[in-house]
Amino acid sequence: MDLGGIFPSSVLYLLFAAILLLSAHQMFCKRKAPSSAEEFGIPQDRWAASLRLNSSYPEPITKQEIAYSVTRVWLGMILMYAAGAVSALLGIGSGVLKVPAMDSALRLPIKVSSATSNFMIGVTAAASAGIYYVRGDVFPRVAAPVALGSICGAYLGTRILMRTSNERIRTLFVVVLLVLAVKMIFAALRGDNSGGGI
Amino acid sequence: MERILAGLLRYGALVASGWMALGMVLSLFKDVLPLKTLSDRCLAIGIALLIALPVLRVALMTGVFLLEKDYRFAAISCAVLGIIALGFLLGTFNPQIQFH
Repeated sequence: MDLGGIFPSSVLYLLFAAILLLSAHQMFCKRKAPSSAEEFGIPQDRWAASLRLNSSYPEPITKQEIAYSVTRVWLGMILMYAAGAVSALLGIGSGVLKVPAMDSALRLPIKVSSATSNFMIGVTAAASAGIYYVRGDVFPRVAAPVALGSICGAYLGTRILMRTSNERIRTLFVVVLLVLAVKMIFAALRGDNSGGGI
Repeated sequence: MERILAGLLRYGALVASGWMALGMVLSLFKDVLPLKTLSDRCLAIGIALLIALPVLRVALMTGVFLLEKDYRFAAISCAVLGIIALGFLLGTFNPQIQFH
């Protein structure tokens, strides 16, 4: 195994691992933080009000509606753009970058950001999958069982998400971020262009 | 109205899964020749349905926003549709671009 100098892809992987570790640290510190921006006394964001982003969601455990408000919409747009670009560049799913971005920058509740990220990635994945499908790059024999398994897993995961506490979700996400960061560092050290099937 | 949209995604995923499961079951009987192509077609139908579902949802949302005369959000979802369509066109009509 010979490093042979710094390949650009290795630098990208290291950078990505750094971003993942930073996101993990941010989410770890926020585990016990209050989930509403109003508790900080932050003034209403003009863009959030005009785009009607503030809303509420029902919490199954305590059976009440939890209202949330969104702040720093401009920062969210920049981060979402960067997440999409990086994920397309490295071939990694963008949810890993989007959920911490929504959690820290926009200060959404973790369940809302997780569900929103799911929907966003569904739309973008459908767009690119459509392109591949029409070009004939999709093998139905392989894709169909994978898709079926993913659908069942996602359905079960959504059910579990509704019943789990916010803190546990954040902790699980921190673990996933750390594992991915380690994988990224290994990919950077290997010096090849594969993302290790992330 | 929101319930129709949510139901579309959920039941659409179920229908697509049904087609794919049917295709997988039929592919077990590979030796019977008509069933082989039939199974491949079933799989293809299921996959195509699955891919089209989120795009269909965005299109429906655009229609709902127009019905509610919410022109700002209709413009936003229309822009999303436009971006998807642009990527689609670039992919199909430009074979020089290599997607890895």
